[in-house]
This record gives sequence, C-alpha cells and structure tokens, in this order.
Amino acid sequence: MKKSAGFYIEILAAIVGIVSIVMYGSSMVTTQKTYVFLVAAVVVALAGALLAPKMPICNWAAPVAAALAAAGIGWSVTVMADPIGYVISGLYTFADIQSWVIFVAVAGVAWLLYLVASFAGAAKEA
Amino acid sequence: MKKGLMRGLAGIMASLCAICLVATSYAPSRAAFINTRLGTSSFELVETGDASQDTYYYKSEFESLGDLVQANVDLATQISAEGSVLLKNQNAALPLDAASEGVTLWGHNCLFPSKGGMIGSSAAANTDAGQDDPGIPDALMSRGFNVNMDMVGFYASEEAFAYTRQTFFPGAGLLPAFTPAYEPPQFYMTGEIPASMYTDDILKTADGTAAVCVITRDSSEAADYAPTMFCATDGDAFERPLALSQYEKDMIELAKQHSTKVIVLINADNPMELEDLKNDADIDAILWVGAPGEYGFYGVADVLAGNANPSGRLPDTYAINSTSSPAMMNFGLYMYSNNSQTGAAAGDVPQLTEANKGDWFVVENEGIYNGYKYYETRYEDEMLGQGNATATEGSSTGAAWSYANEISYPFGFGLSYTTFTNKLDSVDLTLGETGTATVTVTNTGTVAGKNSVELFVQAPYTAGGIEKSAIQLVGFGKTQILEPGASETITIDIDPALMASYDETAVKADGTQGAWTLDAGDYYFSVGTDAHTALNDILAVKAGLDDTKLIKVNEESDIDPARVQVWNLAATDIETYSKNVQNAFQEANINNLIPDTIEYTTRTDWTKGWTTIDTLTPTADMMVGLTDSNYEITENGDGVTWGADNGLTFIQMLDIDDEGKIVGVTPFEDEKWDQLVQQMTLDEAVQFIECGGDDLENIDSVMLPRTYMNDGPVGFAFDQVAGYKTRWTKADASAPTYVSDQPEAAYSMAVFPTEPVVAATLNKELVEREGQLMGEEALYAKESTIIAPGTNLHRTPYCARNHEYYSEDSVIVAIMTETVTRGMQSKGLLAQAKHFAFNHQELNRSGISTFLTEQAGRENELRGFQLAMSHNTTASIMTAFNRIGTVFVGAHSGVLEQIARNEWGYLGGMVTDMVNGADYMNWRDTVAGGGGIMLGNTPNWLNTNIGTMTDAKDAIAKDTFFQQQMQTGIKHWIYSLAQSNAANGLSETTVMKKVTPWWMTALYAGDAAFAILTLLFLYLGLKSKKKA
Repeated sequence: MKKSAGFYIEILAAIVGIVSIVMYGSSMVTTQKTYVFLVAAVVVALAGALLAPKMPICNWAAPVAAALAAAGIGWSVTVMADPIGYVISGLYTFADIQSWVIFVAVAGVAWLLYLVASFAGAAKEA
Repeated sequence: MKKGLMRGLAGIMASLCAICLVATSYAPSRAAFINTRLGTSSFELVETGDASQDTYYYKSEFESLGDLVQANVDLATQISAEGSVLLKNQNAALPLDAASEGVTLWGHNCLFPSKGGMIGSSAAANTDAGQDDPGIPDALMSRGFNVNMDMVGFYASEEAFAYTRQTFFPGAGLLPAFTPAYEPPQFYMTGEIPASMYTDDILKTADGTAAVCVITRDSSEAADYAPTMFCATDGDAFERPLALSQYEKDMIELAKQHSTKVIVLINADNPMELEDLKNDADIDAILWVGAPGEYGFYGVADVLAGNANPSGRLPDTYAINSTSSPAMMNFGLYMYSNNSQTGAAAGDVPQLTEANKGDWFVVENEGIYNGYKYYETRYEDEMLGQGNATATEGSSTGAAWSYANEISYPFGFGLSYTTFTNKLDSVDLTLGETGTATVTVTNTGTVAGKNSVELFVQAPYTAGGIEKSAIQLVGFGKTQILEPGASETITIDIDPALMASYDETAVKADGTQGAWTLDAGDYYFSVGTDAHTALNDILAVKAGLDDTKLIKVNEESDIDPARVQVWNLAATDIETYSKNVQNAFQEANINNLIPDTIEYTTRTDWTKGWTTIDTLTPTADMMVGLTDSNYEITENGDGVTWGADNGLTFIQMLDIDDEGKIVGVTPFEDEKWDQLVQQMTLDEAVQFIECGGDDLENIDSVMLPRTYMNDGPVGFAFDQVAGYKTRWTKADASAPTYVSDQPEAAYSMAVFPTEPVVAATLNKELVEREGQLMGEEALYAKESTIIAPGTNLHRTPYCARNHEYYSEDSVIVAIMTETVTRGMQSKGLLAQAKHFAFNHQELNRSGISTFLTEQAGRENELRGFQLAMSHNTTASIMTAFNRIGTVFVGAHSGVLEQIARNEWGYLGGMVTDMVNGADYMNWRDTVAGGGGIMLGNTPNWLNTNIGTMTDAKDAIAKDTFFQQQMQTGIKHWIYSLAQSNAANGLSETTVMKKVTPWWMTALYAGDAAFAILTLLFLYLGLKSKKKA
C-alpha cells in the first residue's frame, strides 16, 4: 500500500509531540504520568506510520496516539491546578505558568495532528 | 473515506474518554474544593436519634444577616474613629463645622485611598450585590459636609485618571512579587498629579473652603518598600517612598493658596516622614487615619466633623528620617556568597540551587532596640551623657546625634480636641501575680472625649549588663467619654513578666541556661502621654532633669512627676517567670555560627551596630539547613496504633450541660484524646496533614466533618470566601444561620480597619467586639477558622505588610492579639495567629535566613505571640515562610516545641503558610519538627526529592517517631476544633454518611458514554474495513 498524506501528518505530529515533551521539562510543576503518556503517544504514532504501509491495522495508531496525548495533557493539568488558581487569585503572575501554557499549546497542536492523521490514515487502504 | 471517518471519530471519542478518566481519577482528591464551589457535599450528617437535642451550640446574637452587616458597619466606623490619631491641630482647626465650612478634597488619591492592603488584607465590597462602598467624598457627605464636587470631578477626569497608581488595579501602587527576587523593589507609584494640571477655574472652586489633603501610601502582602525606590508616577519624584513626593508637596502648596485652612490626612499604615508638615505653620492639622477598612472613612468623617473626639495613639514611631533606626542597616536583599545566581562554591561549601530557596539572609543587628526602644533609649543616654549617645553614628544630620533631630512624633503620641491630666495614683505589684496600676484621668478641656492611657516602665539597667530599653509599655487602658471637668479612675493590669529581660547566660537552679530576669532595683512607672513624655517624666524623677535640659518634640507635651510611681525589687529574680525555660534558638545568632560577624546595637556604646552585613559565606553546618535538612523517614520503634475501635466520637469530647450548652472540653491531658486519634486510619492522618491547611479535612472515623479555614486580618477575604453563602449547601438549610438568597448573602466580609488602626484605638472593648463580630461572620458563613490576626512586629517602616500587624511594640501586639482572639473564641471561631515567627520582611520571605539574638527574639517578636498562645485564646497558629537561622521556622522544634509547647503551654494546632513547592518547606521536616499540618497541596513536590506524603505512606508506617509526631499534631487540631463551631449540628447520635455528588456521577457517566462511543466507532471502522 502507498503512503498517504496522513503518513506525513502523523510523522509531523510525532515531531511536534517530541517538542512538547522537551518543553514540558520547563513547566513549573511536572508529573511523570504526563511524560509516560506523551512518550507513548509519540512511539505509537511513529510505529503506526512506519508500519501502516505493510500492516493496515496500524492506521489505527493515530487515534490511539491522540488518546494518549490527551491523557498526558490532562495529567499535566492536574498538577498545575494550584498554580493556575494562584494566578487567578493574584498570588502568582502569568509568567510563572507561561512555560506550561506554551507546552499545552504545543502538545495541543500535536494532539490535533494526531486526530487529522486519524482521519487521513497513514497508508491508503484498498 | 468511511473508514477514515470512523477512525477519526474514534480518535476524538477516545481522547475525550481519556480526559474524562483523568478527571474521574483526579477529582476525588479535590472533592472538597469542587464541593464548596458547587454547593455540594461528599458526605451528609444523618441524625439517628430522636433529634430532640439542639445541636447548635454556638448561636448568633443577631436575628438576621442584615443586622450583623449593620453591626459591622457601626463597629468598623467606631474603630476607625477611635483609631484616628490627631498629630497636629493648631488654632483648633479641627473639628470642622460641617454646616458652615465647605470642604475641598485635595490630592488625586482622595478617589483611590488605601482602605486595606493588597492580597491577604484587601478591604472589599461587593457593589454588584448592593454593598456599601463609601469613598472619602461619600463619607464626608454622609456627615453633612458640603464637598467641592468640581474638584472631585476634576480628579475623576480621564486626564487625571492617567496618573492613577495602578500596578495590578486602580489604587495599587506597589508591585507584589511571589517569586524569588534578586533585585530590591524598584518603584512605587504615588498616583499624584502635577500642579500644572490644575486650571485656574478648578482652583477657584476651592476658594473659601477648608482643604482636606489626602496623602496615601499602599500596603501589600509580598511587597516591601525600599529607600532606593524611584517614583513611577510620570514626572513625580521623592527622596524616599515614605517621604512626600514633589507632586504631593505642590498639591499642598496649592491647597494653602486656595483654602481657609489646611488639614492633611495621612492614609498610610507605614510611618511616613512628616517633619515638614509638622513644622509648616500653614498646615493647620494633621490626622493619621491609616488604612481604615471598607467603612472606615465614615469614622474619619466623624472625627473631622467633631462627632467623635480623637483618642487614638500612634502604634509606631514617626522618625524625621524613616531610615534612621539601626534595623534599617539590614533590611532588604542580602545574598550568600554561594547563592544560586551570581555566587560560587567556596572551598568545601557548594553553590546553592534555586530549589534550595536559600539564597538570602538578613541579620537583625538592632538586637532588642526596635522602634521606640532604640530612639528613646539612646535619648536617655544622651540626657545622662553615657554610652557615646551623641556620637555621629546613626545621626540623620551627620552631626552629633540628638533626639531633637530624629523624631517627629514618638510612639504612643496622639492629641484630642480637649485636654486631659493623668495621675498615676498607685502601682501594686507582686511577682508571680497580676499587678495593677490605678490612674485618675481628668478632662481639663472644654470638649467631651475619651482618653487613652499608656503605662510605661523603666527597669533598672546596669552598664554592661543585660541590654534594656529605657522605656517599655506594659499596659494600657481607656476611659469612657468624660465630660469637661469630669474624672475617672481606671485600673490597668500589669503582668510583671512584661518587665523581665531575657538573659541568655543565666543559669537557673535546675542547671538549665537562659532565664527571664528581673534585676533588683527601682522600677519607674509612668503614664506620660507617649513613650517620650513618659521617659521625660521618669528622667525628671530619677535624675532630677527639668525642661531646660529635657527635649520635648511637641509643644503639647509636658513633664509631670505626678505621672510617675516607683516600685522596688529587693533581689534579682531569675526563676519566677522561667518555668521550663531554656535557650532554644542560639543558632539563630550569626556570631554563634560565624564568630565576630557583627556587633549588635548596644547601649554601652551607640557607635556600634551600624554595619550592613551584605554577604555571608555559610559554613558546612549552615549548609545542612540551607540544603538537605529533610528528615529522613526510617524504620524505628514499635509502631503506633491506627484504626483502633475505641468507640469514641469527636462530639463526645465536649462537655455539654443539660441545656445543651458547651461548658468545656475533655482536658488535653486526658488519654481519651490519644484514643480518639488512634481511631483514625493512617490514610486519614495523611490526608489531614497533607491537605488540611486549605481547609480542615473531615475525619470519618471520629465523626469530624470538614471545616473551612480562610484569611484574614480584616475579615474573611473576599477572593477566598466570595460572600456568606459560599460554604453552605442545601443540606444545611435547617441551620439557624443558613443563608442563601438574602441580598446580603453575597456581601464581602473583608471590611474591618487594618491592624495598626485597631491598635491605635487602645480600646480592648472594641477589639474584643471585633473578634466577636468576626465570630458571628463565621457562623453566617459556615467558617470555623480565620487566618488572623497578624501578630508579627513592625521591625522597620519599610515592610509593606505592616498593615497586617499591629505595632512596633510587642506588648501592644500581645494584648491586641489576646483580646481579639478571645472575642473570636467566645463565638466558636478558631483564630490562627500568624506568622510564627520572625517574618519581618516580604522580600524573599520564602526561605530567607533570619539571624537574630535569642534575647531580641523573645522580648520582641515572640512576646507578641506569647499572651494569646499561653492563654490558648488563639486555637491555632500559622508558621512563617522564613528560616530561623538556617532552619525552616515551621520545622524548628526549638520555637515550636520548646518555647510554644513546653514553656507557654500552648495547646492549639499549627499549620504552615502556603506551600509553594519549596523543598525547605516540606512535610517531613514540618511533622518531625512539631509544625503540625501543611497549607497547600503536595503535587508541588512530585518532581522533587521530597515526594508526596501519600506516596511515602508505606515508609511512614514503619517510622514510629514520625507517626507519633503526626498523631500529636492532629490531636492538637482536634482539641482546638472541639472548642469551635465545628461542633454545630453534631450530636452523639449523628452519623456521617458518604454520598456521591452529582458532578462525580456526571464524570462516571462521561467515562461510560465516551468509552461506548469509542468502541462503536472502532467497530464501525473495523467492520467497514472487512467489507472493503
């Protein structure tokens, strides 16, 4: 089977996902769960994209990666609940959580790309 | 196409399912927070008996919330009226005649006065709900004044508004910082407008009116002033932020030209430099009003109109130069040489890291000579020609030091519209007992009014002996309103312990070192009208000096030996007030860590103590506290009991009489308290400690429901408790103080005057009433603990959080704290005095190493806490952010266990300040050091070497010592709660039943729905593939 546009989108999503993982390190508070889910999403997406031309079932890697990325982002929110509250109440400034907000934006882009890749598929199926 | 569509939809559903599962997993740990916001609960109290018992042990004295709100307005008004201090009033310029004298408000800040401070003590009103939010013009008009609204309108114009002090919001001139600072605070915005903006037309509107000029300085948590600040208001400038700015001076000059008389309102809790105003013959009156709270300008208006006769007394010294005290030599930003930013390792001392939060220190070089204790003691030595008092060191002028060149208004100063005489009739003292002084006060003027009476003492001092202040407040009282010519005799209690000095070198009969010492000799008592006048009285009696030699800084002051009594102690006493006492924080003296680092201020030689310690290289021992002091959880001991079936409940620990009233609680020493705590599971204990600080978590095993705890010193903070109705759920509807849809239910409770204004009243009845009304607020708001009062000392004028603390004098702090907390306690509200201890600056308060002598710490800061803690009127304390020496204060067993528990007999709970992710402020050290529970949430430690308490539970279960400390800390909290309104609604037959709130049900439903949809699209996608 041939690679489709979804292949490139999925690879791009994985690259953006890797960037988000690196950026997460500068977040104010981090949790290991987020790292685990985001890394798993990247691994699943890359494996799916590379294997899909030979194994059509691997087109389903993208939605799995999207779910993993969503879980990773969700867990990062749980440990930032206090700092976000402190910003709202004025105890912290936005600058304190800016790194995390940028991470969420980048990870969110990766998640959207995973979803687009889900629709497109990494390889054309008969 | 269809396969792709199904795959994409499955991806979306799976993502939503993942997010929902995360939320379902996480939400229970934040159930309390969510419940309070949504008006739900995870448990309900079910009465299994016949429900005949009235279980509301603390009842409101008010019939409605509206009555309580009105009582708050009335009390806040009275406090601000009695807390206003008249500093100058030439030619009886005040009071104004509201009927005949028009008033022009001068100064742009008349529109944006400081009512409270930013953050913890923000005064607030919910105007959307219809709450009154009076500004200065409103307050004056409410008292019948004809206010020049043309000038008010001019200040409200768009052009003038551009000058508004506004860092966060209009009316905020300071910029708080919650993150580490490596530069001193840079700027302050005065908010004043240039004189050039006033047009001739607008100036003419002021002609023929009395000028009321408003000078404002802000207060804020997490901020300090700095002498080096620049003025960030466009075009304005000042020499120091606590001096008048050029625009303010220009504004006053214009007021002089266009008014019949000039009255200056000092709307600032930080002592400002007022000498020019004091000496300016064209300034008719100066009235200090501090930050008077939400309704306080009503009280100020009453003073201006003569409805109230001022009787306030300054709670701080007003120096000519606000930087002239020795404490200012070391206040601000000082970093270790191995700090994490610009520092470097030195020998075997490694560089600190940002995670250590240990880069900063301050050496409190002034010793005991804080505030007036410095100025007045040096003055006595100037008069007696001793101790090199007239040396140039510390002189504001650069010439020989003289009191006349240093002080504008001494501590305790304040005028009245009438005049009084005080006569100290007698002093009756016996060590170990409460003594009394009787004072006859006579109104010798022509206007009725109250008089505040301050009782000062001078203890015998020997050169080279224990450092002693030449004058010390030991008590105060207040008359009722005295008509002209009338007299009243008042009695002031004296605790002789307040006359004692702490001798770190004394060895007592039991062999322990450190004692409260009363030296043999004459003790001179005076009821002079302020600290300086009292000292002049004493010098007149003791040394025979008269007014040809003595310095009077105010024309109104006199010298009167009739205000003095002498009491003699035959033999030095080091035992009476030293039960269980021994040195507890010697390592906080930097000279004991790095010898000869500093010469502390000493009255044996006033040339000493003027050194700034701007850098230190910590020793290896100091690095332990600065880096890796974490208590290690180890396996030790035989274990403790958790989950015991002792059949006790929280409510059984209360003594309830036949009429259903609480008449006491089981004594703390009773083993039932231990048995009750042993009923808890380790999980419950971990939850209570780890999450207890924000609110006190429920303990199901002992039938203790969750209770609420919030800021602050001016009433429950509006940003934390948005109105009375916030904490109530529909299940509480039967409670007598339940509120839901009354107009006032959304009102702010942060309305009371700031603590310096409260202190200035010197009126214990008002202060106790304030505590009672805060207790009433708690009943209507379903709160059990208020994080108040602020009990730290005003070490310098430059701490921008001084508005949350009473005074530079520890005895005022002590009496105010004990009195207000007694009022709270009477209504079942747990007070939480803060910040224990030595939180003297906000700059880098998180982690700063505070070095000081034990004598200074005990006689000043700790004495302010001691009365309320030893009498157990404050049922809890909040520990501070800073370190003592290099050890986190919330884990310092010396002050927490030795001093607070062993010496003072303090039985209440302890909690940290807000945990903000710093390693030094961690649960291991806090619990092990006796610091109780944590305010904050431990995800902050997830990525540190601390970890969460929950994750460490298995290891904790093997550490007997640690678990004993956990149980002790919790026991103190439950014991405190037993004396609070937390008991309301409980009977011996009440059971707690767990319920699932609707939002949790919704999350479960979301999990299921998204999972089903994911599977559906997965099925359809795979099926489509097979078909293909």
